[in-house]
Amino acid sequence: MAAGRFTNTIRRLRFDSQEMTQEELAKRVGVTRQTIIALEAGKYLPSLGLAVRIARVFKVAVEKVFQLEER
Amino acid sequence: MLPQQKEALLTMMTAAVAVVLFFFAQSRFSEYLAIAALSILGFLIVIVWIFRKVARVRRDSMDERDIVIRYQSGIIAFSAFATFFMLTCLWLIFRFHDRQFIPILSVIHLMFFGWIFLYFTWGTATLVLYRRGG
Repeated sequence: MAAGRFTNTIRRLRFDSQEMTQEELAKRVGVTRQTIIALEAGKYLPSLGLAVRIARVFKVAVEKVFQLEER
Repeated sequence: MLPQQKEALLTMMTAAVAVVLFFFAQSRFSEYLAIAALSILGFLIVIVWIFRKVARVRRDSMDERDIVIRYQSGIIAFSAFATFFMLTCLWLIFRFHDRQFIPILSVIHLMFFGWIFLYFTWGTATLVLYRRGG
């Protein structure tokens, strides 16, 4: 199985969406602000459900939010 | 700080107080140590339970990361508890093998410190996992 590292563009997408705050994004996807902080820092991998909800908030595909860097 | 982190911190602090109370009871009321140990454990469980109610630490108020961390810390704590229990039992067997019986004080120690160890490892694992991000 190919190993890789997940990265995400949540921070950029937030700023592109009228500088949406972490608190607002957290509220819209139903998690705490600490979870958004952990996600942006790449310290936590979300479930598929949460990944899809985040992508829907920004109206983009999941692959635009989360990328797998192949090694 | 999230309520779950406060809960972990309070659990560790209460466990530390319980250890102090246990040694106090051992020095003053050694003949009632079994009852004292059970009472202290009861006190520990009730304090943590009251805090959970007051701080509303409930599963339905947690998000997915909180639940993942709770499961992970539970697995870590229970594995550590099982290891502690097994190693202590082995030590007791080797120590008292000649006599063919284990003093009740050692059994009380195993019960009390086993539970305290479970709470400490659970609290530590919870705090570390929240710090690491989950």
